[in-house]
Amino acid sequence: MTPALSDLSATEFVTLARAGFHPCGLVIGSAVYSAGTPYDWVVSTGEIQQLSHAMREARHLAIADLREQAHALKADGVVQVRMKVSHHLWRGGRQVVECMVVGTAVLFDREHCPEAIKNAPALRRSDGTPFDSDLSAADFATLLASGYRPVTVAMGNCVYGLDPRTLRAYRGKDTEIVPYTQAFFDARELAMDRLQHDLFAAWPEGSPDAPEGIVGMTVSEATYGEQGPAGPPIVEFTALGTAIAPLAADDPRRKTLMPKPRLVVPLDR
Amino acid sequence: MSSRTRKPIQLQESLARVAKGGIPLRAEERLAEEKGAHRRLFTSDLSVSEFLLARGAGCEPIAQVMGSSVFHVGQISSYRGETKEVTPISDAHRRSRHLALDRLQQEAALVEADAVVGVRIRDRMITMGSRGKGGDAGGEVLEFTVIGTAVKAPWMAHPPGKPILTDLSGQDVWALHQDGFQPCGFLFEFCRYHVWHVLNPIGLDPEFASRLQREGGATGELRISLLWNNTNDLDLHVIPPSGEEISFSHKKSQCGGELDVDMNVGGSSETPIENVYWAHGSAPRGRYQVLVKQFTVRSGHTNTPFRVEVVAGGKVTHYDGVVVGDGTVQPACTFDYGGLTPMVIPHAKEAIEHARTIAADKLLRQAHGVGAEYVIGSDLKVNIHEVPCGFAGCELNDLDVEVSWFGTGVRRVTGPEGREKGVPPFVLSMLPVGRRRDAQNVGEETMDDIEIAAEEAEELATELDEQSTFAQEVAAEAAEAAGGD
Repeated sequence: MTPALSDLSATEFVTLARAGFHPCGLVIGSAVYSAGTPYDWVVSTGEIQQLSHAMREARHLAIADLREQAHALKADGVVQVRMKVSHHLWRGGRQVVECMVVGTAVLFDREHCPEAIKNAPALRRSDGTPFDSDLSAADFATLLASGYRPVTVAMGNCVYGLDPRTLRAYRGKDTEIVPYTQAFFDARELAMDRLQHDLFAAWPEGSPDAPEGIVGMTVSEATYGEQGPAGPPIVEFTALGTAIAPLAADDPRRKTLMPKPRLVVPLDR
Repeated sequence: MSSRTRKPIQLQESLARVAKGGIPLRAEERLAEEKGAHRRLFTSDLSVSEFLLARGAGCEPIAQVMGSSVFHVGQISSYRGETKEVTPISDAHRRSRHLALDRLQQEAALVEADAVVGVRIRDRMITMGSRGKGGDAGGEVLEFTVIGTAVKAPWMAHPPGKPILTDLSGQDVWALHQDGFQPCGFLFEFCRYHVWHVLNPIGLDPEFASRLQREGGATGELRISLLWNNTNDLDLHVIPPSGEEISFSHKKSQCGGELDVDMNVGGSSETPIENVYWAHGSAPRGRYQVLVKQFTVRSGHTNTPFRVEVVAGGKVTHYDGVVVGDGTVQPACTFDYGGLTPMVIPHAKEAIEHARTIAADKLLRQAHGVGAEYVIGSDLKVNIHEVPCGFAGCELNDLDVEVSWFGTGVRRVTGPEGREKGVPPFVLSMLPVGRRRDAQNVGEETMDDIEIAAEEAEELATELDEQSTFAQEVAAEAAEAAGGD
């Protein structure tokens, strides 16, 4: 038997094993994308379409890469998908985005899983493709114990610029910069909106894996590329979460009771 | 023990041992004292919880053990035109890691341990070479150190004299043990990959490349080249958006374009090329017109087929045509340039994939070697950085990709100690009341807080001490006074 690589810690590994899953390989998607040159970016307050698009492409390509590998491994799913983005300014004024996603492909292991869920489905999506999620192993196991399964990583983004000239009007004042508040607010909304839009487009209502909701959605912001010598940065907002659907009605996992939470003293410090 | 003075060690003998991949004499002496039933105390870098849980999993600490190696990276001959793993650098990392871990294992074997748990890694570059490319120029010195706690754990199967190494903590070993798993080896891999001219667009005609290299033609943000295959004198004319025509009679334009190769004025070549380029960051946006003029017919052929290659912002386009007759001007193409095109950089992605595959394959082979079923606790780092090609002043970008990977192999415990009886239930736990998860993650601040609190407590204690001393003195004086009375 070939050993299986994974990105799990010892406790995560054990937690997954208790839920009946074992790792079958580390899947890593990467994309390197040239987003043009910063000289081209006219920074007025608003979305910078070209950059939003570049980031979206880079993220989606990397995820697609990861999914392909999971499929090739004949995995049932991918857990703990982590996304790392870094920006580089190359010579020749070329702004380069490097996106890497890492996850652990898992298989439902009927031979070693707890007796009660031996006949449970492996949780692949209805079209036979492996599920993917950015849930940690612990969250994944808890999710299953509460009657849900992950379907897919959902993502939306928006790159927003702030016009530095706006600041001039505020010199010496002690007040809210309304256009900036609106801009940041708007950008977050756009990112969240796109996440939902893309998700609905891929899994329309009524389809077999139609998600019931999204858990663990985070909206993070990061400075885009190299920050200029003065003025506000270009910011990318990214909404990331896992779309979930209920377990099948006859899934024996439904019979395993969700334990009542207990208060404990951690031993890990 | 502290009262005994150690004898000075034999330096030459110690050096000879290290040269053979062994451990220094001093380490051997220390460990000899710490092994066996007669030892006075055990040493370990386990925290209190780790110590408790490691013992709970049947691991008795014996001694803190270490392995280290300082390694010199040799010279890399040349990168030119090479896209592949830089094996001297990869191997330097692999060998220094291997040597250090081997010494850790030797130390552990000396104290008759079954395993080393909680192996901590320190990997650093002591000096940088002249080009600062992390080993490329040679002369870099790497240091790799591993420290862990050697334990007695009879339930862990291992080859004789080869204790199991793992970077898992005491808690981790305990958690695995609960569910019937054991660590079976520490795995590590490193790969350095170099990509030559990473932005080289896909679809370049190699004939252009070889003739340009021969003539020293430059390339940049925008390049327009013309080639044909006879001794006639063809001339490349380029009209940039400014309208200022670039040709043999006006080689440099105000907008930064330059005709740097002009051939067959005297009709000397059967494989001529002409080249106009704009350096990085200088090509104006707008419409370009390219014309080909047959200036002199010399070969006996009045019809000359030609090919024009346009590389604009990473995109390649070819135009084929024929100039008919002496002194004719033939329009070759017209195109619009709108700046660097946003695009995937395929060579970079490919290189990351290759480097990762090389590392993964070797890691898997190591895992197989120690009989692992799964590899957990992966610490995978992938870094890319752009470097100048540097060959003959070349301005193009090269790329370095670095993959560093650590992990621990685990397998199910076999034999009487195997624990595959039933899976213990989950416990959903909460963190202690009064502390938010975020607060726990901020390790440094918490440590600072603790330190500050500790300092304050100490001050208070000293103060109280002083006060009580003062009180005693006062009392004593009072007693004296009373006694004297």
